[in-house]
Amino acid sequence: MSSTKIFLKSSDDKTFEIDETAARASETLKNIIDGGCLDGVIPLPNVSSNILPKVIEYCKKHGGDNGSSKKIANGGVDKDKEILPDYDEEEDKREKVRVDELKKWEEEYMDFDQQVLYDLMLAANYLHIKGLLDLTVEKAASMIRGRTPDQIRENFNINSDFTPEEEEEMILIEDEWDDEWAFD
Amino acid sequence: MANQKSCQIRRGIASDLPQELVREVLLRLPVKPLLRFKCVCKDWFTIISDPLFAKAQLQQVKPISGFICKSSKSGILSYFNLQKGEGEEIDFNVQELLWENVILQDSCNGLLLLQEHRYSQQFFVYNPIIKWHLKLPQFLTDYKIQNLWSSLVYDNSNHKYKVVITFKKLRKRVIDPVSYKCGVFTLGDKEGGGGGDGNDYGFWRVLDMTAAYMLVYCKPLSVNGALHWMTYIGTEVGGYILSMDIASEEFRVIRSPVHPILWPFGLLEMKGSLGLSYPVSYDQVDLWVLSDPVKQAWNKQISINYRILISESRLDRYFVFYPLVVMENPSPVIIFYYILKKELIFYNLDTGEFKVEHKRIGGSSMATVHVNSLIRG
Repeated sequence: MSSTKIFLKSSDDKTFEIDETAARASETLKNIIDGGCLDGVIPLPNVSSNILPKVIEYCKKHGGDNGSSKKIANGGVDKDKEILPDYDEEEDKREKVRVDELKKWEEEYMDFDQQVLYDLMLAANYLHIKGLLDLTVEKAASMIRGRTPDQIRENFNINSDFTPEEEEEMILIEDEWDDEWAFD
Repeated sequence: MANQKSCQIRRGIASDLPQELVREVLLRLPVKPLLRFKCVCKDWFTIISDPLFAKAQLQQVKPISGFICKSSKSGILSYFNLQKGEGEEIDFNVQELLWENVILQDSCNGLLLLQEHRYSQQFFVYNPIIKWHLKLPQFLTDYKIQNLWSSLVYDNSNHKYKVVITFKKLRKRVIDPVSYKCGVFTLGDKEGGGGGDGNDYGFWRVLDMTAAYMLVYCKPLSVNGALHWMTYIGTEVGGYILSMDIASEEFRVIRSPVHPILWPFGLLEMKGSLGLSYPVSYDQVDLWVLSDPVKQAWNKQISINYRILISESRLDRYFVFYPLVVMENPSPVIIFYYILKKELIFYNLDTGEFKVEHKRIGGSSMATVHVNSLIRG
């Protein structure tokens, strides 16, 4: 397999190296490579140097296969396998080990603070890395799931931009649901 | 100066996320927190209130999330979440809209079809989560008819909901043939229908059901864009399933693999196809799946014997297991409603294990499969 090197330049002018196969995990980079516009360095004005290595780490792990994270999300079972005539149990076991290992890797990989999470989500969105976007979006959702609107505003620095009258109405809605559904 | 700028950027983190990403994050949340999060800020309010968001959110939810039924407390509908196991239970108070004798007829995509009371021809479509409702015009009030079932179905071709009421005209003499018909109402069909005043000013249409087929007492099932009824013909041995295409409202007939003589006969969705549950005796059912709709070929999936769950007393034999639904994930499970004890019985089709949910479900009505959603008709 060829391992052509690609160079990416972050928003703060730092250059990083990545294998072409890994870079293909990103739809955006893949299009640039396939478009033949590879003129030395690819500038990424929306990704800073503290996030780019993290993105590259993900791409290396997934090496152009941006569907693998989806498989994990579905419990790692590849339904098509079941109907293959030469269904191989050993192969299936190896696949399971691979999926478990990848799951563990993702867990460690995703261990960072909220600021990194948002920057990474933006980068994944900008570079069209579906698997990474799914991971970050899912994590963000799990972080806000059990919170109150107040906690969310505080935690995420969102200003309530309702007028005082609207606000009053909103509080009514909020209270109503708190009454009917015990908090979990 | 540079420091101050980076400080400002930091402060705006989440509010600077583009709306499409905020939407993606919110889509992963269940209905309950979503409603509460409407009041976070205007942006979030707009996203969550969007009908397209409601649709996308419904697709994220697992196909079957729980059951809803009339509670023994008046004016209360109780919802049981299956995904969280025995955990979540919500009581919806419908008293403000309806009355003690309200009948829960059907549920589809989070919308409930409610009937004012048993003898009324007044129907409502209601989403208990967002407290949205639509009052339909009265159904045939000048006819002598008997309603059999009322179904709420989704028309994929135009993304509208239809209410289908199966009824029969009362006969003058015993020797008169029974004639079955359907009343069909399309929600939001007329300009201004489903308007802000909570009324829909559309109209009911009446369709004749193919003559000669006698309906069996079995709730119609909506699957693959068609509504299905179990039927038979006079003294002929063998059964037929009458199916109405929800979009075109055309009827066709599918041969059933069994003759529907014993109750409770159940039409079920299995593996994305039409399936049926057929009681062979008081303690055993067979499950069949329509494996090839074109050739009308059926496959017998499994025989389930539940003798171990019922006592030998004769009385028990009359209180059967009513098949409710088949869940495919994480493993295939058929759920029965044990009418005598008002319990849900789960049978795992892979392992053959029974699990009994001992909580009594349903005061005066059978449990209906239900998902919570933000959908408006």
